[in-house]
Amino acid sequence: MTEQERLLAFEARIARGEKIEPGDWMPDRYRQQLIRMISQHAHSEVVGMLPEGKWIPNAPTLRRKLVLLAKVQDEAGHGQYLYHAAETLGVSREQMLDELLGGRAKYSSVFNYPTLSWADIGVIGWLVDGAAILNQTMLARCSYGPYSRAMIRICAEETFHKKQGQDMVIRMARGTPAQKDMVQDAIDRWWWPTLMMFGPHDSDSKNTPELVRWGVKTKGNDELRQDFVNELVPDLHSLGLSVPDPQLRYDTESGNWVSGEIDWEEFWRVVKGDGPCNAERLRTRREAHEEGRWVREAVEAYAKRNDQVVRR
Amino acid sequence: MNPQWEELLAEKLQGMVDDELILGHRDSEWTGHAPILEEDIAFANIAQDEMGHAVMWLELLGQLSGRDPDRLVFFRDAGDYRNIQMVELPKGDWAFSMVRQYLFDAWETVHLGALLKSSFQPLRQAAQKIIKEESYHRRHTEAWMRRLGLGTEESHARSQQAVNQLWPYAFQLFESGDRRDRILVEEGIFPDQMGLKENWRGQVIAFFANCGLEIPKSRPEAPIDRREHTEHLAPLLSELQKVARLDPLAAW
Amino acid sequence: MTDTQWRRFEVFVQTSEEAQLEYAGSVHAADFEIALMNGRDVFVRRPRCRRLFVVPSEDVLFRTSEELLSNGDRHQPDLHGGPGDELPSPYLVFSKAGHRGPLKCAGQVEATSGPQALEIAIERLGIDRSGFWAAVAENAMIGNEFADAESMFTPAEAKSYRLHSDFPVNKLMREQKEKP
Repeated sequence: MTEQERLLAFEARIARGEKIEPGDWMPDRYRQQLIRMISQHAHSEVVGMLPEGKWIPNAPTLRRKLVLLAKVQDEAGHGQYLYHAAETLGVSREQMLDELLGGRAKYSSVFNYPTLSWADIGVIGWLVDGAAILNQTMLARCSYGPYSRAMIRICAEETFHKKQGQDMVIRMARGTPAQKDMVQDAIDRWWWPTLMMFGPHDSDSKNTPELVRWGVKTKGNDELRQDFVNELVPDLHSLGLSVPDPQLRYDTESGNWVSGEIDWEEFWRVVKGDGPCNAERLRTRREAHEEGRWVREAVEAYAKRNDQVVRR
Repeated sequence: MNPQWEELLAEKLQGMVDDELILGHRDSEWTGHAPILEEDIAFANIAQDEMGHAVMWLELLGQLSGRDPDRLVFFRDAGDYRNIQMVELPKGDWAFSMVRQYLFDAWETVHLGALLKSSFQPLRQAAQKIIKEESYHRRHTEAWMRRLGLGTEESHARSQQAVNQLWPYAFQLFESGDRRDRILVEEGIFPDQMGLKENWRGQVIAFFANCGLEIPKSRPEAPIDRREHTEHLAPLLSELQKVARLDPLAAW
Repeated sequence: MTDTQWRRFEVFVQTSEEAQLEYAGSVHAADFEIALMNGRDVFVRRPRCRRLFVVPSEDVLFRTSEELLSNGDRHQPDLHGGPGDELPSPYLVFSKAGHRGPLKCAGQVEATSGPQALEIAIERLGIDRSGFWAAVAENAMIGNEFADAESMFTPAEAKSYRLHSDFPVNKLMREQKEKP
C-alpha cells in the first residue's frame, strides 16, 4: 500500500466510526496532534489540582472538605488516565513532564487564574467543569480508542464535580447577603476565562478542520461555547445572579443568548504564558517535583535491590 | 449508660476525633505536592479515610453529647481541642509525614483491635467499620517506611531524623489523662492504654529494625496533657475555620 | 531531563464475582507491591471491585486486528508475551467488545508465547477487522491476596459523598424556577 492508499483507508475507517487503537497505522500528523491534545489535557488536570487544592484546608464543613479532597483526587486520577493514553502513542511520561516543568507544554489557561474565595470553588465546579464536560462529551466519540475510553471515564466523574459545584453555588446564592455577594464576585471573575476555554473562534483556529476530518473534534469551538452560554445564563438568572457581560442579549429568532466579544488580547497573553498565575503554577509543580526527587530515587533503589521478580 | 461515664467517654471520643481530624488535615496538605502523581492519589485517599474516621467518631460523640459535628470542628478554639501534639506538627518532608502516619496507624490498629471488644456496642460497631480500611492504610505506610528506611542514604537519613523527632511525641497517644477514666476501663468500655502501649512499642521497634531504623534513646518525658498544644495548632485552626467563621449562621 | 517516573504496569480488574476480568489502564510504580496499591488507588475509587491484577507493561502483548491480519508494520516495540517457555502455559486473552467497550477477558488458552496465544484465540473466536487484543501469561500476573480484598475494596463503596443523590441540583433548580 502506498502512503496515500494507507491514508485513505485510515480516513475510511474513521468515517465508518471505527476506533484507531495503539499499533494501528496512523498518519504521523494524527499521532502528533493527539499527543499534543492528550498531554495538554493531562497537564491541565494536574495543574488544575492546585487552585482548588488550596482551599481544602479552608472548607467550611466536613462534608465540603471531603468532597473537595475527593474531587482533587479525581483530577489526579484523570491526569493519570490521560498520561496513560498519551503513552500508548509512543511518548513517555518523563518526556511529557519535562515539557510541562520546562514551560514548553501548554495546559488549559483557565487554571492560570487565582482562586480568591471559597465561592470560587463552587463556581469552578459549575462553570469550568461544566464547560469541560461539553468538550469532553464530544471527545468521548473521538476516533482514538484509548483517548475515547479515558474520556468516557472522565466524563462520568466530571458530571459529578459539576453537580457539587452547582449545589454549592445554589446554596450560597440562596444564603446570606454576604454569601450571595461572594458568589457573584466569583462569577464576575470566572465567566470570561470559562468562555475562553472553548478556544479561539473557529475561523481563527488552524487545527480544527484537520481534527474534524480525523474524528477528533466533532463540534466547533463556537458551537460548544454557544451551548454553554445557553445552558448557564437562564440558570444563573433564576438564582438572582448576573453574568459580567453588558452586551449579553437574548435573540428570540435563534433562541440563543448572544455574548459580547471576548478579550482576545487577554486570551492570547494567558495562552502564551503571561497570565496571573502561570509562573506560580509551574514553580509549584517544579518544586514538588524537585523536592520529591530523593523519594523517587529511594523507591527506585529499593526496587532494584529487591528485584521483585515474584511470580505466582 | 450512666451519665457520668457518658461524659468521660465523650472526652475520650473528642480526643480521638481531634487526632483524626488534625492528622487528616495535615495529610491533605500534600495534595498537588506529592513526589509522584500516584502518591497524590494515594495520600488523598488516606486523608479522606482519616477524616471519614473523624466523621464516624463525631457521629457517636453527637449521640452521646448532643453536639453538632460541624459546630465542634469549626467553632472550638485551640484551647478546647484535645488532639495529641504529634498530629498538629507541620507536615515536614515526605519522610516526616510517612513516619508520623506509620506511628499513628500502628497505634490505631492496636487501639481498634481493643475497641472491637468494648462492652459498649456503638463503639464496637464503629471500630468494625474502620478497621477494614486501617489494614490497607497500614500496608501502604509500611511499604513506604521500608523503602524510605532502606532505599538510599539520603532517604535513610531523613527517615531516621523523622523518627528521632517524632518518637517522644508518639507516647502521648497512650496517656490516660484523668484518673476518673479508670471506671471506663473497669467497665470494659474503653481499653487500658498501658497494655496497648507495650503491644504497640513491640511492633513498632521490630518493624523499624526491619527498615534499618533505630529508636532514639530518650529520657522519660513528663506526660503531656491533651489540653496543651504547640504553637502550630492555632494557625492550623485559623486556616481550618476561617471560612466557616465568616458567619456562624450561614449554610454552605 | 527529569528522572524516572518509574516503570509502567498494566492493570486488570474484576468488578464483581460474575464479571469477566477487564483491562483498566496503567499505573507507574517501582515494583509490584506499589503497583497493586497504585492500581487500587487509581482504578477503584468508585466502581466495585473484587480482584485486581498488575503486570509489567513489557509482559502484555497488545495487538490490533489489522496488525494480526497483515503481520505488517509495528509501531510498538516488538513485544513478547512474557516468559517464553518451551512448554505451553496458560495465557489470558482479552478482546474488545464493540467499538466503545473496554478490553474484556475472552478466555484462556495454552500457548508457548503471546503471539501464539492470540493466534489460537482468533481461530476459536474469529476476528473482527477493527478489533483490539491483548495476551498475558497468567504467571506474569500479580493479584491481590483474597484475604486483603475486603480491606482494599470495600471502603470505596462506603463513601456516600461520592453519590449523585447527595447533590440534588435538578430538584433545587426546579424549585428555584417555580418561585414567583
